Amino acid sequence: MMKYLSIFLVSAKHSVANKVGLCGNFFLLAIILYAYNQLWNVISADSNQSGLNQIFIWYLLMGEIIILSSTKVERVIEDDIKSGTMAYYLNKPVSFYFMRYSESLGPLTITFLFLAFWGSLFVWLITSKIPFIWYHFPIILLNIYISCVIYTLLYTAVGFLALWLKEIRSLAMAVERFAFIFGGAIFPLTIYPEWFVNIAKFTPFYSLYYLSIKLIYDFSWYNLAVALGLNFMWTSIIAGFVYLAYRKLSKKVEVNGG
Amino acid sequence: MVANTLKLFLEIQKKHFKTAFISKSDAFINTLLMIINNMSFAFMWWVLFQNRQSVNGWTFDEMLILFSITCNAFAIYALFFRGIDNIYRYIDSGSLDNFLVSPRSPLFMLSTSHSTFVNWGDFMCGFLAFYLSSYASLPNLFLIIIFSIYGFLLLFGFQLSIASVAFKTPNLERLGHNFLIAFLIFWHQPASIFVGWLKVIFFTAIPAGFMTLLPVEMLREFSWLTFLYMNIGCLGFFFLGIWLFNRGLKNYSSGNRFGVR
Repeated sequence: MMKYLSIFLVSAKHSVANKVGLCGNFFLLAIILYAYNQLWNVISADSNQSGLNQIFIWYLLMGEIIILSSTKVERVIEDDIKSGTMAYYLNKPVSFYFMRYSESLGPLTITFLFLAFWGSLFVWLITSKIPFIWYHFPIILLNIYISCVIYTLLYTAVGFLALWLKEIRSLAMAVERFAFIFGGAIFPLTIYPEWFVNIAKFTPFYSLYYLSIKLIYDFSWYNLAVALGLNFMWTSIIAGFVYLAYRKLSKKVEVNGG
Repeated sequence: MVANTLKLFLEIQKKHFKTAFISKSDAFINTLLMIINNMSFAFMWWVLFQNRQSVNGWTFDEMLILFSITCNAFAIYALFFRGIDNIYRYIDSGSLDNFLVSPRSPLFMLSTSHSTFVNWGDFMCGFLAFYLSSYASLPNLFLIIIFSIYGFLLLFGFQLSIASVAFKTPNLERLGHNFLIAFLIFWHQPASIFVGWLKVIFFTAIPAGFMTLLPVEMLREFSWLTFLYMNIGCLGFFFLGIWLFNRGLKNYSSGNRFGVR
């Protein structure tokens, strides 16, 4: 366990050193928040529902933190599979999979902390209101962090699909778009038609995104428990797939002789 | 000279096609995924406009036009000139030398060096979006093609301008990528929401306004003056990008990594 913790810490230190990258992420987050704040402002004014943007910008912030914190771990795994690099790790005293996963959690954690702090400050400055009780905020953020970790796990599963597909970039993009629509990461699922929400409930994005981020304006211990329970179920399913794919991969590498 | 360059361009594209078709099933699956990807984005906006009929005078029809131009412009960029995306890496690693030793223009060789086949899906979505909008007509189709080409010039110029900063500052790839996404986010918003000083940003620092507000205005009512503004904006950024690249090239220190392209 200590070796994975060391890998995690080393990659986190690398991430802290990359200040330009962190600032770039915040710049992008600020642009997204500002653009959509403008949109919700116009919609609020049009529909005489004042304060709509104050709720939805906090909601968007939580969704964007999950998206922007996630690392491109699927591309690393894809490269490892295609180049055969992973064969070099198979005889090492570390699990290739856990190594790559803990390596991706380092930058994820640093980016998450950076965006959560500066993003919250930015949104608070532009809306000057909070749609939650302040002492619920750390719990909401912790739940968002759990979502980030599971979302990265999902991307490792996408990376393992490189076993069957030559290119997984479009698939990774499609997964991100599914998060937008099935998870309501940009517009909350409350505005979607009921038939669509019923479909979304059967996808991992529903709990990873919608149930987790709507806690920002609709916090209750029951909602939190439902989000955590469903996230646990999806984690088991994704982890099961990753386990099977990893076993298959190890055999393939053995057959090809590395 | 022009004929030779065009011939070379076609040869390079043929090579990209052949590379993409090494695995036909993969190429088609990924193109299909790209279409699904684009459709999900359009669906998201359709849902919003089902709830609100218009946003400051913009309806879903205007969004479809915007979507059409974005998809087509990005498809031209990604299919034929995507090498620009790699400038940061080439400069940081010194691999730019490979392009400098070519008898052709380094910018031409560099920008055509990479292509992503999946973006054929963008073309399909672009024209489908136009067909579904209430603006669909033959004269408007001609305008959409023209606007898409201008959109490509703007995108190319913007991306090249940002990438040229890498000549001065290393490790800018992630930041440059974020700038491109910021540009695309502004490009995907109903232009009517940007008012006041945000409109100034919309036409200067992140100049997506030239390809969102102006084309829709021209489709509603064509005006040569608006067309002139679009020309100034798009061509201005295009030539600014080329100028910055050439200027940066003068300061470039060779990485002594020669190769044949």
